[in-house]
Amino acid sequence: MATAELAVVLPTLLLVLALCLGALDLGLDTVRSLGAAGAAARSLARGDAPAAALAAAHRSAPAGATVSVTTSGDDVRVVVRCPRGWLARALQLQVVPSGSAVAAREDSGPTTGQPP
Amino acid sequence: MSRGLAAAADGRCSFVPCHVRAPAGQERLADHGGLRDAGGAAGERGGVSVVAAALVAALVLLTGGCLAVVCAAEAGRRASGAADLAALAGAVELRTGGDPSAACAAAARIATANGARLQHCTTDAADVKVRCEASSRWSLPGVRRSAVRSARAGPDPAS
Repeated sequence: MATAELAVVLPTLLLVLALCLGALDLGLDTVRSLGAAGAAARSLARGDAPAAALAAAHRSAPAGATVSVTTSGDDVRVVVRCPRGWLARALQLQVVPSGSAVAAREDSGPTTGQPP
Repeated sequence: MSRGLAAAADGRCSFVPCHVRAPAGQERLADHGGLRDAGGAAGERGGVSVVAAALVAALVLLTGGCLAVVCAAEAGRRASGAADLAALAGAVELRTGGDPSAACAAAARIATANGARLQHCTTDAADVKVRCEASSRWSLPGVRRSAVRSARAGPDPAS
């Protein structure tokens, strides 16, 4: 009796655990993407070499993320998109952790930016 | 269990056909066994379910707490990134144009482009100080979604 019940309860517990971990994974990947996009945009805005900014973004972004940079007028936009997580793939969800940042380009002279 | 019930019915076969009944000696054994089985199974069934429900509740609560922290971190990251970039844009505008209101307009434009709201913007000599508010992409009931961060930008003192 108890064995049969355990056979139902244990998969349920594992499913709940998987859902919880998947949700946390999604949130953490989003936070890391945002950080990477912000750092790359700031670096590009301050006039650093695009290659260096992209490399830094790849380092701090989650593994397998794509970093794209688009320039429009005075603005530069960095978008970091992560691959779909295993939970989203399993549930056929179109939820992708991503982060973007827009900065105004500064082409002359260095400035500093730091929290007060 | 059905044999236990048959035995309890005092040999009158009211619950099971008579050909199912065992001889008297075995019936007594079946009686005890049946009762013990029934009690044990009922106890264990309740136990597993209660423990499983408690575990699920604990998991959901723990995850909810972690998700609240993650949401706050996301809103904070969004706000600080927007404040950083807005302050930089304001400082650049202030240096090239020299107009504080134009600097704050540039800061507000960049803050909006980053999904944040410019709450406060002041200029101090060549420095621009901004305060931005941003909201998390997700919402959890009972958890504040927005975060406020400030940043300052200006000419590099080293140059």
